[in-house]
Amino acid sequence: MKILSIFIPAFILFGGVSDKVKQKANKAITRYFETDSFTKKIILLDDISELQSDEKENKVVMHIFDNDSKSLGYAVLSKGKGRFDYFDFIVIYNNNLDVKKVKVLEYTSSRGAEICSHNWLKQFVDNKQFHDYGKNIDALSGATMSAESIVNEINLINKIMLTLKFTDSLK
Amino acid sequence: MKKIIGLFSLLIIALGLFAQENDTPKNMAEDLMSRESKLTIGGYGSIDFNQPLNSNIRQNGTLDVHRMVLMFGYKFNDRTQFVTEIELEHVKEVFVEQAFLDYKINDFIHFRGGLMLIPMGIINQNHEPTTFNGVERPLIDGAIAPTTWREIGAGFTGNIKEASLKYQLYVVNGFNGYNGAGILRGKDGLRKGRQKGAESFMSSPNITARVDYYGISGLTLGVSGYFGNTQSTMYNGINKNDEVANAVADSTVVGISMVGLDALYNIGGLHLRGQYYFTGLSNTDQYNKKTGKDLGKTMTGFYVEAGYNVFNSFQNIKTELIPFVRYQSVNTHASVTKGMTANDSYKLNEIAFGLGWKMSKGAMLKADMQLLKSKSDDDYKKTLNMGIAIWF
Repeated sequence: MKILSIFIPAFILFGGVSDKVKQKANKAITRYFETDSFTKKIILLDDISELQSDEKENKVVMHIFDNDSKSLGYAVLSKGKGRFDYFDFIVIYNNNLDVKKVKVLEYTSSRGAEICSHNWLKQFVDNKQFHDYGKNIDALSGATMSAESIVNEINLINKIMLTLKFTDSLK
Repeated sequence: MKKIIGLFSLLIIALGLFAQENDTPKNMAEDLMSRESKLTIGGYGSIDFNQPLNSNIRQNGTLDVHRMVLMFGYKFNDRTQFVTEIELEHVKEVFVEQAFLDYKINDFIHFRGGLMLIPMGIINQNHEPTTFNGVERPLIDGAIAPTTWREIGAGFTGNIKEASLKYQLYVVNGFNGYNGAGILRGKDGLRKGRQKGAESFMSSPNITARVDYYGISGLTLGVSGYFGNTQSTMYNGINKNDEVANAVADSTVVGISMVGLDALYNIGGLHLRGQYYFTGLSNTDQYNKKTGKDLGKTMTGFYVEAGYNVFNSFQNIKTELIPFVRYQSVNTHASVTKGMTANDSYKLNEIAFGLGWKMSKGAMLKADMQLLKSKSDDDYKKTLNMGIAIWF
């Protein structure tokens, strides 16, 4: 498997992401875009004044290209918080900024692990609405905190992606 | 009271010690914020009002700070975490509800040891009061699986994302069935035997396991089991080869085989849940003869519940208003040994209905009516319950 990762130092800015999470992120990107040969460009959020500093925390936005430098889409790594623990997840977009995949990469605690359900996470795919946990996103008993956290984070990530689009930063 | 002050002093000192690691002076709140990746603080509580209603007899209501629980989680590193919950019940009783160390061996297996919740049923694991309808926990979670049921033990737990499965498998200490006198009885089954990790004793370990499947959106299905024997002080100090002494000690022990099935389903504003327990008890004839108790041979119970958030369709309303109805049936004398007559007052049916208003996910006002009737009663006993529930 050949995965090229460029602008690697930008990852350092995202403290707390283990090599294992990065590997799992690469695997998710590989699987969705059906290519094991791609490049990633990190889009730095530091200069985006339209976003609050706390909105940028724990977010890594990546532009994904194939070997011919053709844009495939975007991937955003982020963290959520459950009852006892943080968890890592990835949101994958196509070039039209439609959410195509949400995957929990690392979930340590046993409590709230229901959010890892592929079928539950499908609710976010191609869903342009503002997500409201318990209303247009089904509640998950036993995983309230984790589920609410990932819903809020995905709303925030959608906002970040739109902001990047309108500030012409998605290049 | 001294115990409570002592406990909180220790916690404050502990937090102070963490603060000393950093050179930059910070107040406690800032320090906790900066350490949020390692230290988690949470809690839950319920303040209840219960008013029995009877048309002919005056009965006083009760007002109680039923539970206040503080939760602390500390993450030593990416793999190692300690979680504890310290509970004040009825203001004046102090318990440690959980205190366990969790070590992640790999993505699929964690080792867990300490004082742990027995993974039976819905409520024993998720008992924060904003997560269930009604002021009081369901009846069967008191009489059959005696929540909050926790004991000291060790074992393995994990999450297999690819299969949408969670599992738990522990060896744990069992119920105190005999400590000079019989403990367990027909009325509330095993409840009085919980040792709760408080200077508990063990004559034989028990096994408990649970598997949850969450592969269908909004649905969690659980199957759980608990197997072993109750504990008896009578074994302590007797010669292993003394057949008579061992036989007498054996008569103070009850074998337990408990299985449970439960399901939770949420779709839109609709919340459904149900649970079934079956408990088979062996050696109860000898136990009852030896101790004078009236323990049943099998105990069963189930409930089904439906609730609906009527604000679900109103996008501008952020609160939830949930009317609910629950039917449950419990029988701690589902069957009894030969020569014993089942006590009809232990067969209970209950209908509960009410309303919950969630101002946020962690704050809720509750009001409900419980209608409870045993097989030996002519009429339903009515109780009005109201409560304040919090979780953070």
